[in-house]
Parts: sequence; C-alpha cells; structure tokens
Amino acid sequence: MIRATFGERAAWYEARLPQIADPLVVFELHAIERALPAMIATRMRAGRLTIAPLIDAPRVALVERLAAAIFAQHRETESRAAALLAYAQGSLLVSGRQVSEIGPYDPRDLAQLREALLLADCVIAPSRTAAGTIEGLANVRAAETVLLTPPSRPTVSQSLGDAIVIWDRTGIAALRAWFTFALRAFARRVIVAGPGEEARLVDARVVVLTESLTPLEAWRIASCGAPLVVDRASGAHEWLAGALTFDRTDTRTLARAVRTSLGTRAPHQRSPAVQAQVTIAMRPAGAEAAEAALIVRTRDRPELLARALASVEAQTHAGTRAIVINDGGASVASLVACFPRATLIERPLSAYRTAANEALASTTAVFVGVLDDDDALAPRHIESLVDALVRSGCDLAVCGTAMTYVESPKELRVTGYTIVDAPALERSALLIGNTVPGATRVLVRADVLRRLAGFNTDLFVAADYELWLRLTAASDAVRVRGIEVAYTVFNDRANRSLAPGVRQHEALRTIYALHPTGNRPGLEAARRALLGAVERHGGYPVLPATRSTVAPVWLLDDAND
Amino acid sequence: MIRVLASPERSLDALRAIVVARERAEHVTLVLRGCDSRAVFTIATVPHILRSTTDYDERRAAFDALANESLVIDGRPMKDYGAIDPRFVKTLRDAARCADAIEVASWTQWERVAPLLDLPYERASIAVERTEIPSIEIADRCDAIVVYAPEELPALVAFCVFALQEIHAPILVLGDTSLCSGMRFASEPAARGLGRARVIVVPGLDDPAVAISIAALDAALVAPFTSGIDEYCSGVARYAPWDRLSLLGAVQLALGAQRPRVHTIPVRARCDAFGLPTDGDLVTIVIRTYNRRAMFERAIASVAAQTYRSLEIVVVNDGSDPVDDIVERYPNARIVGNVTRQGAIPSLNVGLRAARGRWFGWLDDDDRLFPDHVARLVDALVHSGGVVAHADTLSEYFDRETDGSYRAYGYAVYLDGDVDRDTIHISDGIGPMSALLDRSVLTESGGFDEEFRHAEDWELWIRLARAHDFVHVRAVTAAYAIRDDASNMMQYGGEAMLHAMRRFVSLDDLRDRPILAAARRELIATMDRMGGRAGFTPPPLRF
Repeated sequence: MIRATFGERAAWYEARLPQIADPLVVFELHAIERALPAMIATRMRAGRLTIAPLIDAPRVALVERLAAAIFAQHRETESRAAALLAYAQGSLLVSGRQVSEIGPYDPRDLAQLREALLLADCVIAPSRTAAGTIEGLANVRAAETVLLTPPSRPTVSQSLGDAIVIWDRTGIAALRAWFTFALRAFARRVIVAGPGEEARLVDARVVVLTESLTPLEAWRIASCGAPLVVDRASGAHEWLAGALTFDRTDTRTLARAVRTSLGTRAPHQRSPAVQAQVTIAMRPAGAEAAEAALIVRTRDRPELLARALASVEAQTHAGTRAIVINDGGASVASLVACFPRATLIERPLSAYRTAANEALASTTAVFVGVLDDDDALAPRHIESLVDALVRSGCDLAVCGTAMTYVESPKELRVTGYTIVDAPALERSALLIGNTVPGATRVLVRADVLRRLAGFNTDLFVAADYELWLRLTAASDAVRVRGIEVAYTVFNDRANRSLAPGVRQHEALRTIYALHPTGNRPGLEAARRALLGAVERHGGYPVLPATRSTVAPVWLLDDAND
Repeated sequence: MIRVLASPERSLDALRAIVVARERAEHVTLVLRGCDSRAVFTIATVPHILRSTTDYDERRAAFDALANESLVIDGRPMKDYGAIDPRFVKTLRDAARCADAIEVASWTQWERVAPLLDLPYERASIAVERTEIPSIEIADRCDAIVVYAPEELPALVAFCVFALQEIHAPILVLGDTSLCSGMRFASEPAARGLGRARVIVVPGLDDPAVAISIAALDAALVAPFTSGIDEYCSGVARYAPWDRLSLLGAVQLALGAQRPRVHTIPVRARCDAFGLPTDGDLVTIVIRTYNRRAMFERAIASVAAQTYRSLEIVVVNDGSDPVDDIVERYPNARIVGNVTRQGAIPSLNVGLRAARGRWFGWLDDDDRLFPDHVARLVDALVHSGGVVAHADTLSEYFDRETDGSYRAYGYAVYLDGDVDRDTIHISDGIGPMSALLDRSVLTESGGFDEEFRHAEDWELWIRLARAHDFVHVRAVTAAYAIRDDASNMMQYGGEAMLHAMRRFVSLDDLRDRPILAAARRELIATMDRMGGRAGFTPPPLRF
C-alpha cells in the first residue's frame, strides 16, 4: 500500500486517516511542488490515486502570519483591536497594500492544487467545509469526496470549572496571543493549555479550540462535557451540534461565540450521516470483450517505444492491442517481440501520412486510438475510454493528460508538468482550433473511422484535429474524468507537431477549407485571428509547464521504477 | 414544529409568519432557499441575454462573459449590479434570527448562504426530503438528454437548453420552455421523457431533493454543485450553474458514466429549541406603566404567557390611571403602584424592592416578550453560572391610526449586540427587556441609579460588566415598540440622553484607556450635534 506524506503536519494527519486500498498522497499546500510529481507517477503507474490535502482556509492562514506583526507593532489595547478589526474588514495595510488584495498562497501552488484534484480519483477531506475550501481554492470539482470518519472518543478530564480554556495543539505563540487578546474583556480566568495538559480541562466552563484544519481535536475534546467554541474552518460544527463557531479573521466573532457558549450545553453528535465511499466502477455489458487497437508510429526511438509498449502491456482492458509501424527506422522487431500485445509493421521507407491508415486497415478492433511512441498510458486508460464509448454510444471518447516536459529526446530529464483535464468538447470552439491537442488521449470507433475514410493523408500535421471535426459533425463526444495519458513535450520542440519548419498554418488553412463555419462571422473572425497568430509564431504556442520540478526526474526512470 | 420556507423575495412574509408562530409558543424552522447570490444573478441575467440578441454566437459570447464575470449589461459591468436586494437580505437575516432553527439542504448550500446572511455557521441543520417522481415508460432507445425541471424558473430551463445546443442527442425538456424559442429541444410527457433518458440534468440550484429521487432511475445524473448533491450521491457530474461550458462538459462526462449511487439518506433535522426548563428558581418580571392601557394589556399578557411557570409579575403603576382590573386577571401578578408620578427609574427601583425572585427582569408597557423568553434566559444563566444574560430584541414599528390606536407596519432586529467591559462604554446594543439578571447582585450593586433620567440600563451594564461576563443568548425573545409619532423615550429624550452620557464620563473617565475615552468623546460630540436623539433606523421593508 502506497502512502506518502509531504509537509510537516501531513504525517500527523496521515496517521489519522483510514486504511484504504488506493495509493494515498497526503500533503500540505506549501509542499505541493514536491508532492505533485509523486502524484503523477503514482497515478500513471497504479491507475488510481487518492489524495488528502491539508489546507488552511486562506484568511486563517493569513492571520497566523499577521498576528505576530500586529502585536509587535501595536502595543496599546485599542490600537491592537483597531488593527485586527481592519484585518477583519479587509482594510488593513500591509507593506502599503490592502490586506484584502493579499492571497496567502503562492498562485503556482494553487494551480498545482487544481492539477492534483484533476489527477485524483478521490479526495479525502476532513469535513464538508474543508472540502468546499479545497475545491474553492483549486477552482475545480473533485471527482469524488470522502469525508474523514470520526474516531472513537477517548476520555479526557471532565469539565467542572468556571474558566475559559483555550485548547491549542500547535503551541504557536502568535496564535495563542490572538486568542488571548480576543478574550481580553472577559472577567473569567482564561487558561491556555494543549496536549499533555488534559487535566486542566477540569477548570473549563467553556473550551475554545484553536484548531482550524480538521474537526478531530474538537471531537476528542468534546468528551470533557463543556460547551465548545470551534473555528468554523475546521468543520467541527458539522459533527457536533451545539458547538459555537467563530471566524479566525475577526476577534469579535470569537468573543461573541464564547459569550453565547457560556449559556449553552455541551455539544452532541449530529445524526451520523452515511459517509461516501469510493465508487467501484461496474463495466458495461459487452465492454470487456471489445478489442481496442492502438496505432504506434515510431522511428528510431527504441527506449521511448519500450516505455510506450510497456504501458500498453499494463492495460487492465484485456482486449488491448498495439500495432507498431516502424516508419523507416532501424528494426524494432526484437523489441516489439518482447510485448505480447504488440504486432509490428515494418516499413523500410518513411511514409508518415499513410502509416495510420495502413495500421487501421490491418486491424479488426472495435475501437482505435493513436499512441505516440514518446507517450505512455495509465493502466486503466483503455478500460475507461472503452467503457465510456460503450455506455454512451458516442464515436469519440477523450480523457485528460499529464503533459510531461522533457529536455530533448537525447536528454530525457523531466523539467515540469502540466495537468490538462478532458475539455468540454464544443463543436463551435473546435471549428476555430484544436481544443483536443494530443491524439493519444482519444479513442474512436473503428467502423466509424473506416466509414469516414480514416485519417486525412493530405495533412502532415493536424490530421487528428481534422478527424475530430469529421467525427463531431454527426456524433457527440464523451469525456472521461481522469488523467490517463502522459504526453511528452520536448523542450527543444522535437515533437513532430512542434518541429521547426512544419507549416501548421498551411494545415490550418486546408482544414478550414474542408470544414466551413456556415456563415458564422464570429467564428470566421476567430479563425482569422488564430491563423495570423500561428503564422506569426511559426506554429501553435506550447502550453508552458505549471512549474518546473525541483528534484531531477528522468523520464525512463519514471517509467521503470 | 412549523416550517417556514423562505427565499429573499419572500423574506417579509417569512418574518411575519415566524413572529406570529413565536407569539403562539410554537417552534419554527426557517427553510432557506434561493439565497445563492451568483445563481440568483444568473437567473436574472439569462432573459436579458436571450432578448438582447438572437445570434447563437453572440449569445454564446454573452454567456461566457457571464461565467467570467465580465458581462456588460446596459453599458455597465456586471460587477456594478447586486444580485439580491439588501433589504431582502436584512429581512431574511432577521427572520433567521427569530426562528428556532434554520434548515438548509446541504453544507455546500450553507457555506454559500451563511456569509451573505451573516449567520453563525452552527445555526444550520441539514435536511432534505425525498420527492415523488413520475412513473416512467421505458423506451426502446435511451438516447436523450433530459432536462428535468418541472418546478424551475423558465430562465433556468433556458440556460440548460442553450448550453446543450451543440449536443447531437435529442434534448427533451420537462419544464417551462417559454424562454427557449429558437432553440433545439422537444417536450414530452414526463413518463415518456424520463424513459428515454441517457442523461438527466436536474438544474435545481439549492435543493438536491429532486436529484436524489431522480438518482434512482437508470440514467446518469447531472446537477449543479451548488445543490450539494454530492453530499447525498456519488457519481453525479456537477457543474457551475453560471457556466454553460461546465454544464456541457458535465453532460459529456455523464454520457459515459454509470448511474449515481445514493449514499446518504436524507433526514429531518432536529430542533434544539426543545428541552428548555419550565420550572426552577422564581423569576420576577417588573412592568412599569404610565397611561398606556392598551399596550400594557399586551405587555402583561406576554409575560403571563411565559412557558417558564415559576414566575411573578410586579406591576409598577407610575401614578397613572388604574390598571388593577387588568392585573387581577393574572394570579401571579401584583401591583405596587406609586401614588404620584415619580418617573421611570424610581419606579423601577420600586419594582426591584418588591421583587422576590432569584432572577430579575423588566420591561416597559409598550414592550413584550415571546413565550420562551424567560425559559431561554434561565437556561443560559443556570448553564453558565453567570449573573446576567441577555437575548436579542425585535423592533416592532407602529403607525398611529386616526382612532389613536397603533398598527404594526414592520419588523427589524437591531438590538442584538454583545456586552463587554470595554465596548459597553461606547455602545449599548441590547434591549433592556431582553435581559435577566441575578436580583441579589443587582440589589447589592445599588439597584438603578436614580441620578439618571434616561439610559439607566446602559449605566447598569457598565457597572455589572466590570466584574461579570454577560451571557448572550443568540435568539430573539423580546419585542421593542417603535412608534412613528416619536413617543419613544429614545426619540424624545434628547437632553436626558446627553445628561446620561456626561454622567458616564464623571463616573469613569477611562483615564487608563485614552483611545477608548477619545471614542466616547467623539460619540458624545456626535450626539450633541443631534440634540441627543438617537438616529431612527426604519425597517428595511414595510408590510
């Protein structure tokens, strides 16, 4: 069972998570730069991935950092209170900028959080509140969310006293100061205590928890029988009816919650909701028996070809086949022979434009796809796409891609990643440009492809784009949620479609002529704009990596680990 | 238990219904719907987009601008427009504060609504009921995308149909298609339409009840994430209800998905208002009155109707016409009248001296209490071990009729503040009738300061807050009358108010708190400019 943690608090959290069958990556947001390559590698090898992000709500994270500065800068009570109020209202100035303009998180971390959610089949969240925070920060919906299950309650000291106890697990001085300051106007004693000091809970009339990440501590401390005041970001109120909440950004809300909690009873467990469990996919009738053939065109890249074919061998769909066309390169017969699912067509001379149709003619498979020799598939790629095509009756299925940026075919050092979700496939947008770059992530019905006369042999590049236009003219596309393909982008533009001298704008003109917009001036204008841009830049702009990886990773090591 | 369904535009009806129910000692749950600002804005904008052009690509661009929040409406950017009238928001917030419980259909919904209404997150209970769906006739071919929206607004239906225009599969709409002219779709009876469904789109924005029921059918399900459907079902394709492309993408995802699985059975929320004490230590409520017979009758009736039975009512008639006949109707009431008028504050001390209860509260003859007022406050005092507790107060606004009687025309909650020993020097945000305190502490501290002609309660709070924590009961348990003929003390007692403020300064000059002292000086200067009169804040909406 794979369980990896990234970040100081992640190990603490991981120890409290349930045992699950899926590989699990637990991370804090600031550690996502290190965590994401591990997630990609895990997803591509194991075919499934569950993640458990541990993330403070943004304004909670900010107050932890600002509290110390505010207390150091302002010595007088009202002056401190005014600064904290300004923070709550978003008007505090920090280095000349309004605090409302300051996000506590690196935007690149947030971009990678989005990618992590796209990669993951399941997200474990400590609460619905936390799940909402995670999805909100990532600006994407998780495929599936499973909530942390409350642990059994241990016994802690029973509360009998009259004090307000601030229960703080972190020991962070600025945080404790924030809480103590917020409760300065109470006549009762205010005690700060933490783990190992459970005996002090006997003095509590009310317990205030500083915990904002999870409801776990609230659940534990609720045993003391005192009213609880909890950070609303923790989601503890979802579990404990009667727990009062406060907003960490506003000291007044804490004082108010404590003042209310004085007159309330201890919280009780809400009606236990049935927690979501990971959905087990049931294959549709007829899917398992269907054969799917992948067309692999290669030329003198045996190491990469071996990686691609290994990923075909690892497919969970039994009827997966690879048709390798050696397009004029040195023989790969001995290599292909090592992969039982692969057959080989050797062509002594290169004829790239007709190679795919030759492979298509050689197979009786129900479904056909293209696998570039520098790409690789996650184990459930074909299963997912076949199932979607069978269920939907559509002619074309598309999934997401992990774009892997590599120095060059000679130096296979990975420099970065970008995770690209399966796009909403809208024909209007497709009439302007290729919204599904990378043919490897598409599977189509072979009979439909044959009926449409296969790939367009007039085009040296963008034949896939032209095919999508023909396919979507009469059929719907089906999306598969999941990042099932590692698509390699060479930084030296060694990819065929990116190579210097490839006249992409001419291909685009040809395709536009074949597929007119039908008197839609808006689309015509967009086409002209794209054509001009492609001509000016000598090709399509390449989507940059979200962020370069820190640790060196080697493409083939990545595959062979 | 009464359930009141409310959306912003029906907030005033909801508030009135809740107040009436509370008067009858009935527990009320407010069920919130239609409060998601962005979704409400989308619904309001869809007809505008569809009417502004019939060109498909121009409509697409406008919908995309709506999703990106860059749409321009009548020459102004959409960010200039508010989604929900602030008066509705304030009224709905007040309704929520007056209700015993708030019910929403999901935590997802609550996360989006609580900040708008500025309500504490713990107030909500999550509940949803299953709904009935029509029986279906299984068709030979399940090839359609069905938009199932029989109860939804035409704008919501049109948004969905427009978003699906580029799907080749048949689009069947079960709902109001009056805004869908020129779009590709078909209508069929529900039984036949659902029987043809490969994918069902249920566009309800904030109640997953219909989607949960639809999940039982053998089709993939698409629903907006705002509905919180994923809290009940796994495997639902979710979309942002203001983003047509995300809906298209969700449907394309659902085309290849298996049917969803319901994992959480919807349950009815429990109301925590039950379990309040009906008996315990004696409570004394003093009512002081002066020649407002009709209102006094209403006030004493509200005290006599308390669910907490261990209660005595002490009436102080400050030298006005007799009210003995009214008082005699209530066996636990007695009158301790002044022969000549002494004024409001000495009258209050007369009542205090006559009181026998452990707990003490008071109200004027134009105020009233809701039936659970004493029970809630005693409960809080007992649990806190404190000596003073207060709840929130509803302001009732009255017009004077030609016959001299008063007619209520609005409600609002303004007196809902906290008391602490610092801020009480510059702000008194609680209604005196909403408080209950330990009589012995009050007596030992000297009772009410008769040097004051006004704001004696404020002075008392300042005095008590030095040594005691006030317990705030987060519920509206009393009503305070505001009459348009300016006959309230707060409106006519200008000089008395200034006198009170100056006396606060003489009692405590806040020498060691210079910033607080400066804030109080500023407050007094402002009141001086206004002649000591507090500003009149009207209710956001009139009946």
